[in-house]
Amino acid sequence: MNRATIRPLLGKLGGLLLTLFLASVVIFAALQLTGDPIAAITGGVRPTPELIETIRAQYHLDDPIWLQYLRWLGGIVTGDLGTSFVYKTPVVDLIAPRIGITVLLVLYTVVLIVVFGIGSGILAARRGGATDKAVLVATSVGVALPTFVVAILLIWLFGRELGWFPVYGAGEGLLDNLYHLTLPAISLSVLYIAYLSRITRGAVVAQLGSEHVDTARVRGIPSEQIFRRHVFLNASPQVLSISGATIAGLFAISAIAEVAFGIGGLGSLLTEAAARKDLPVVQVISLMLVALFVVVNAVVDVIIAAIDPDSAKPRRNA
Amino acid sequence: MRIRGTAAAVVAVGAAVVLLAGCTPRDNGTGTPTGAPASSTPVDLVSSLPAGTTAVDEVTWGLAEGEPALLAPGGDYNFVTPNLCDSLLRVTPDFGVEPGIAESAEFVDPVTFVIDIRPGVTFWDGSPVTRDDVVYSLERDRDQRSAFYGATVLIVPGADGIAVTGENQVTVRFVAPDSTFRDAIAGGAGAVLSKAFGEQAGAALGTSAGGVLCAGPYKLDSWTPGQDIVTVANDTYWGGAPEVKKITYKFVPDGTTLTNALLAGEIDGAYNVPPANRGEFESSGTGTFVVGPSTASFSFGPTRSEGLGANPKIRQALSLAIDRDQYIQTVLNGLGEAQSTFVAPFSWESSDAAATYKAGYDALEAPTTDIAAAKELVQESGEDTSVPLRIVIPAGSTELSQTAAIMQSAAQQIGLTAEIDERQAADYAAMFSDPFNESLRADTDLIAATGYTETPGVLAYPQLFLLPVDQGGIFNWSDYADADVTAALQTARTTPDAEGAAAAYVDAQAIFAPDQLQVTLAGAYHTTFLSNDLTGVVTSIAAYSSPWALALGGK
Amino acid sequence: MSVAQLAGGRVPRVARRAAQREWLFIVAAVVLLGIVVMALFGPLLAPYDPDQLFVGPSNGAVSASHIMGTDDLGRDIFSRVLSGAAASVFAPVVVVVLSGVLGATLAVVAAWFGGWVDGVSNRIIDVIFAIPGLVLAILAVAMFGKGLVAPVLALSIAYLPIVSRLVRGGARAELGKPYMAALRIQGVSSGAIAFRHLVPALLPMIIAQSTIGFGYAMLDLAAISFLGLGAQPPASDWGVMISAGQASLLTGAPEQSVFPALLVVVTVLAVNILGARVTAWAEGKDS
Repeated sequence: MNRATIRPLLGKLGGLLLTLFLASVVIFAALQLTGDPIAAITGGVRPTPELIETIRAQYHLDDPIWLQYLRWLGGIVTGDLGTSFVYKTPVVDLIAPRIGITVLLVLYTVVLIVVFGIGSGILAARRGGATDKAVLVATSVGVALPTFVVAILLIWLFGRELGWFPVYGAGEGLLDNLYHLTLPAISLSVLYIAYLSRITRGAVVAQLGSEHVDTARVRGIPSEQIFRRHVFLNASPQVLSISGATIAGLFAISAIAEVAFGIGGLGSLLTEAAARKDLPVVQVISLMLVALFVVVNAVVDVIIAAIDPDSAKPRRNA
Repeated sequence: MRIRGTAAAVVAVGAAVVLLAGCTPRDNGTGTPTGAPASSTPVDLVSSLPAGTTAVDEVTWGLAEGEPALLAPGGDYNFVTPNLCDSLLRVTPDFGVEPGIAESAEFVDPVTFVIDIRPGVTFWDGSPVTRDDVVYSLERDRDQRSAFYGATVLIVPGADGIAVTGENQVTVRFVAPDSTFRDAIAGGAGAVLSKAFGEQAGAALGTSAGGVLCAGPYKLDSWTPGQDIVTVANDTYWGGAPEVKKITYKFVPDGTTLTNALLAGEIDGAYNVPPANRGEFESSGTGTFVVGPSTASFSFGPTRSEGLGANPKIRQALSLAIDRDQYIQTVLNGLGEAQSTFVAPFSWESSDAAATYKAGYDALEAPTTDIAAAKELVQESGEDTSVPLRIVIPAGSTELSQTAAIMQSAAQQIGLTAEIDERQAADYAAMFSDPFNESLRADTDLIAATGYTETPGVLAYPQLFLLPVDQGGIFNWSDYADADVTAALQTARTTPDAEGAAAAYVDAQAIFAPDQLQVTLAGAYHTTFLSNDLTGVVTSIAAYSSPWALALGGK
Repeated sequence: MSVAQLAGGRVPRVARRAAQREWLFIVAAVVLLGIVVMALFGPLLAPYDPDQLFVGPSNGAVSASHIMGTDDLGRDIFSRVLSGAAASVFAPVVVVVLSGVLGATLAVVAAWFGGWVDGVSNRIIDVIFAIPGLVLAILAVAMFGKGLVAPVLALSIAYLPIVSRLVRGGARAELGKPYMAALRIQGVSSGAIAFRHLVPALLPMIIAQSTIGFGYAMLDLAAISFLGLGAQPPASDWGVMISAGQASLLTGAPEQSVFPALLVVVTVLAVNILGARVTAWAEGKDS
């Protein structure tokens, strides 16, 4: 990488930080509009006037909004994520034990997406004919399948009828974790496998028909080598660019699999916290997801820039 | 969530309205999609399973109600606390009362109650349970914020009310006889906590950070919010150590997830399992499905003193328009029975005056279905029928969601329209925990709920709905006021002999039952699903108030 | 939250090829026509009152009188599917229309004025794009309460960047064309250029994107309902019906979940095929 590619990336980094900051304002402001959180905080204890006063003081509810925002942001920067309204424990204690399992689930899902999505895409592009058709039909249905429907079907088929996989919780120990997360990961990956397969196929077909591949063929380079050196490498930026958004998005939609399979992860915590109006938890997890999106995209940008300096600028969308 | 006592002269004890969240529903009991109505064979009610005889290393228990808010008694109703904190007396599975940490606890005269503490009982840390701990624990109930405040209101105010009278003896003095106190201290109101630990923990007592120190058969090992609660056997328990070394409680409020986990054997047992999956539980090879007696009921009642819901004729009309058999088959999958009023027979079945209660109950009119009569009542009510009836239900309870759909359909049949107002769990709970905040109930007419009492006795529950607000009717939101009912209920509470109290209560019941302050749709049985390897749990509603896992063990 | 955000308006090549098959397009069009008829006239076609309880047994199987069986409360599933079609189909339509109008407006304004307006617009788009759709939906639900309104608004905003980026690119390309300069020289007013020439030129692209977006919106709304944040029972929205039928599915009465799920899948599939066709048409116009 040279100076010419580093400078736009630094500019981009500044932009990403600005995005992150603005997103934090949006998230904080949105949740301020949800009304008085006293009921969520007292959670069933009869709120005497003294108790309400104590709570208002404890959570600084009477401060102006901008001051509350600055306190919140300052806390996050210094590692103090606030206190849960519902559990009365530091938010960090709620989130920390759950991150691991969600990360594992997302990684597992990403592996499935990459292996089967890219694999089937390449297969369809190179084999053509019946293979191409079969992949086309499968991916057409795949992109129309709601994640939770897949989850319900998997629970019923593999969990209940066949009994091959566990259908509840995350298990203990890495191997047991992976065993437990198999069905959730499959249910999360189906839609993305279908989508990535199509993108990959399109990119590979385009490269196979390109001039430099023809040239290589004419020069007598073995087809395996052509594929690895020319086709795959040139098709990869397009494939990579959607992977970044996929990973960040998966952290959010993992909620669906976590709820369906009773996994105590970040997604299920976010859904539950929203239902119980546990604002500090909702705010922190939302901001984490945004930060993750920003970071993953930045990393993907760097990788793409390294592979193909020309494509460093316009990305993600047409 | 729960209903709790508050500033009032006479208030009920330990009554609770629970949101049986996570009880997902439906399906006929046979597990076939033939559409046959659920099996209507009478259910054998079992209140406990034979004690376990072999040691078990670990049991995973599913909490269908979700995560407890607090593990200290008086702040929350859950299935964890009863195994941690033993009470002075103990509720038996059949809803009788037997000695607990107190060797004896009796009225020596109508207003003097003497508690003799069992010698040699220790807390988990080995420190002895002393008279000071008992005084401290009972004084906690006198805090207005305690769920058990109502049980203590007849106690002489000040330090004279609860006093040390011997080395192992505490005496409670009353301003008037109280027929409900002994039953109350068999539940959470009589739970004994360490004074030293409690004072040190302060406001954190019972939270995941503060913990508790009690004398029950299991010790609190860890509570990871949002994850699980781990308890381990108390090897020095005064009644003998339990067979199970460790119980891990998981929070599984989603009914379908709970059913899947139980049937796959990933969770060993749970209470309040979804009635909809009855057929699956009954035919399961992994565990046994046990149905036990309960005081729980599904009902709805008024939220305001004005509007459609406050008019007894409208409530009576709705009651007549709902087919109870169909309700029980559909919502409870046959796991319940019709009830003539909102106080369940199981509340009094173990009483010395059971015959009197039964005669009174049998004299009540059983619920019937009569659409024509219901329409007539609507006409007579004089209400504007074009105004929609607004029904509040909590989010996440499939049974109450179905209940609302059934109420809506019934309303339509008798010329009314109904709208469903589903509220987030926290907002729904706030309506009961902050019962004087009328703004929470504005724009509503009726609220559907599940309620139960976890200790024996008839007075705890109905008083909340029947007495004037200043006398403890904290949920008397329609301003129901019947001087005869009020007087008879007061008499029932302050009459020391069981027969006299029963007679007074039955008189009150004959008047209030037809007014349908709560329209009871069904009494719901207590359901338990337990792994085939295990036995010994309490399977009645007493599981809410007694150490139900004390006898849990391998077969 | 969905593929929509990463799809970014591109129709995969495979789908374009599929659209060249005439018969497939005809089948998809017929299916969609059927769905639209259901959405418009569903309640009139329903054999039973969709909210009437116990018109059949609880969890009844498929039969001559109940062609999709009956649900847990004995309601006719076919009637409920018909009456729920309106909400299930129109909610995603609202999402694509709102996101289309807002996104296109923002894009055209940004492309037209350029400079700092373009910069601010890009920043707004970046911020929205960075918040996952599900998080936006949760924030919206926390603000407006549960029901269809909040998720529809949230998804409209979540989808906005996709349309906006696509249209902005298109608008800039269009503005750079010689005929635009010619129009300006002829003294045609800015408003006339924007509304008579620029917007009509971009319309095929916007319509193509909206068609694709519909399928994603439908899947996302169903997922939100599954999490208990969307339409509420007893509404017969398809997503609600699917999740409400889970317990019955476990006990061997899958009708309540299966039929609405099938309809969601078929609708999305048909719209995607149509979308590929529309995109091909839009690109044909473009070149």
